[in-house]
Amino acid sequence: MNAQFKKGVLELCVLTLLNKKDTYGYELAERISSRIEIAEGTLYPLLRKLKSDGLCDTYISAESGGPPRKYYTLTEKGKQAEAELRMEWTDFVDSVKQIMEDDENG
Amino acid sequence: MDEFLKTLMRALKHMSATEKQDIIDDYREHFEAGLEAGKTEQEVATALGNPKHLAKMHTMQSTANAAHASKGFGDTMRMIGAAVSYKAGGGILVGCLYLVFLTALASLFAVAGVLVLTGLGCIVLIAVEIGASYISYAVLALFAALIFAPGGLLIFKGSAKLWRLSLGRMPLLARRMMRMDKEAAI
Repeated sequence: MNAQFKKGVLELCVLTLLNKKDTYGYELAERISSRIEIAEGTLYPLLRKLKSDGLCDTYISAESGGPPRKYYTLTEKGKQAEAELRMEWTDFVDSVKQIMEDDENG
Repeated sequence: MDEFLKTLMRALKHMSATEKQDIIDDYREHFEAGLEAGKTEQEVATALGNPKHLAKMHTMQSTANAAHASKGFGDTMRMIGAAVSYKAGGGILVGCLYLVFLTALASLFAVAGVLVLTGLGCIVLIAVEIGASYISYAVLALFAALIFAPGGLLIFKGSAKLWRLSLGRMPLLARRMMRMDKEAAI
């Protein structure tokens, strides 16, 4: 997929996944890269940015019996950001679709 | 895994030790989780991407944060360096920042010059005061001279060093910019 698309959408994907449940880095990477081709390592700078912007927080936990891992969880601010981004994305996709349809009819 | 982490570590040179360690730990955990899921180290490393490029993203990210919070000359220069190494398009911005920087240096030189002159003026004053037998004023002038003149010289020396550093780095920065431009995106 086009690299410019990916860059912008990655943040929305991460926020959306974290909004569903707290997740650790590797799992996040797997979930995203199973559908979108990305360099998984680019998630970590993004996660650090989200944390420093106060959109997510981290805690160490050994859930599901495995070794302790760093889990990421959305803050209230993060949840708001997720909702806003999701709306913007939906509007945007709708607009692009409309433009494509306009083009077909014209 | 070790090679990936080592390359990453080396490429994160501009970062504080704690932050560097924190980042390395994240990738180490990623490797461990991948191995646990049945992947080979090579597979995990390939999926992660180019560690040098990742280091650049981290450096950008971290210096942007630091810029929000701060502060001194070092951080600014580090951010400029990161911007340049990240994308050549930042070159114009960097050029402007350099101009600002050089202007600031020029004013430092001016301040240094004024201080030295003031110091010399004070020495003349000492002679005048002694001539007029105002010994206490002469002592005051002596102190002033001792503070102003060496202070000015120190600033002068410091500015000269900065000047050399910045001008000496210009071609280096430009070369880095061009090289980075060739490197592929994510």
